[in-house]
Amino acid sequence: MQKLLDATDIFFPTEFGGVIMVEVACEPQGTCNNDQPSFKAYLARWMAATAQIAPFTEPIIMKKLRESARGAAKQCSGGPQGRTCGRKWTDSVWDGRTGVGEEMSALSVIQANLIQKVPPPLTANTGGVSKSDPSAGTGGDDPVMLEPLLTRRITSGDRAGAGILTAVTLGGLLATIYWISF
Amino acid sequence: MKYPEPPPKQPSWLSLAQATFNLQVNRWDTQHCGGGLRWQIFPFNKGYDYKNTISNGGFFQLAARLARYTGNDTYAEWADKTWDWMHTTPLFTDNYAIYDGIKIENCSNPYPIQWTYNVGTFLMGAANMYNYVSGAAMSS
Repeated sequence: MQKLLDATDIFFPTEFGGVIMVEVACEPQGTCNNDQPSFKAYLARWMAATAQIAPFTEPIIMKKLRESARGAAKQCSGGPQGRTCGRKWTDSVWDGRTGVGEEMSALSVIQANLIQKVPPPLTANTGGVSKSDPSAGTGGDDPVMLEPLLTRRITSGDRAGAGILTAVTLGGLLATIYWISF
Repeated sequence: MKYPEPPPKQPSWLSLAQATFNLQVNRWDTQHCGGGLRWQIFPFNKGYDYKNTISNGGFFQLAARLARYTGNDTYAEWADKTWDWMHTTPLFTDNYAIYDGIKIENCSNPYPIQWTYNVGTFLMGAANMYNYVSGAAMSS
């Protein structure tokens, strides 16, 4: 677990103190697509939940979430109302980016700082009330059953049939055009 | 969290998670690269030939969370299986660098981009397993 936590270090570059989250694969280069600005949201929330159920990680995680949230708050300073969130939490000036991913990430990391005020996720033994159904999703007409129809290989019989249908359709179309023209 | 349950005739949140888990188990593909899940469900979708970390990491996390919630070992076994499979690929190195995915045409050639959420999903899953295992140890 410690190793996994250390594995997040690349996303907290030392040039910014090692405490602010950066999507290093696309953020510095400005090449993030529509989905990628949301990825920091997931890491932030999963780090927060990790701190709850693996408490030895809490000090390190909370420090990073705190500083990242500070950076995010500063970056959420754009647009006509001065509240639009951009992408780069290492930049206190709005970077001009807008998008749902940017908003999700900022919300998630700021909200993550409240994690210590709530109990960890419940289990069936600690008060969880959701009803179990271990065979849910097995059998019946679910998407998995439809797959054979969709994954069956196209045969030459299929192609011949398609050819016949095309010819019939074209023939009908041409006949209709001939009939309307005269 | 005790989030309010759906109305009685609708599936519970837990059973929705279990259904998703069961559907994904059916999609585990041992015929290419020794296991793992594809990125896509349907063959006509772009990326059907891609086995990526977020799909397998998501499954790992789901299995781990179900193990922790229900105490049922079957879920834990699938979490272990997914973890082990990831380590047989170049997607999860000994240094814990986690890469984005492999195409089934070449299982040994990873798309070597590192995303926050890929590490995140394994971190969360591992925390759930940590909690599950140490909880089990404490009760026995």
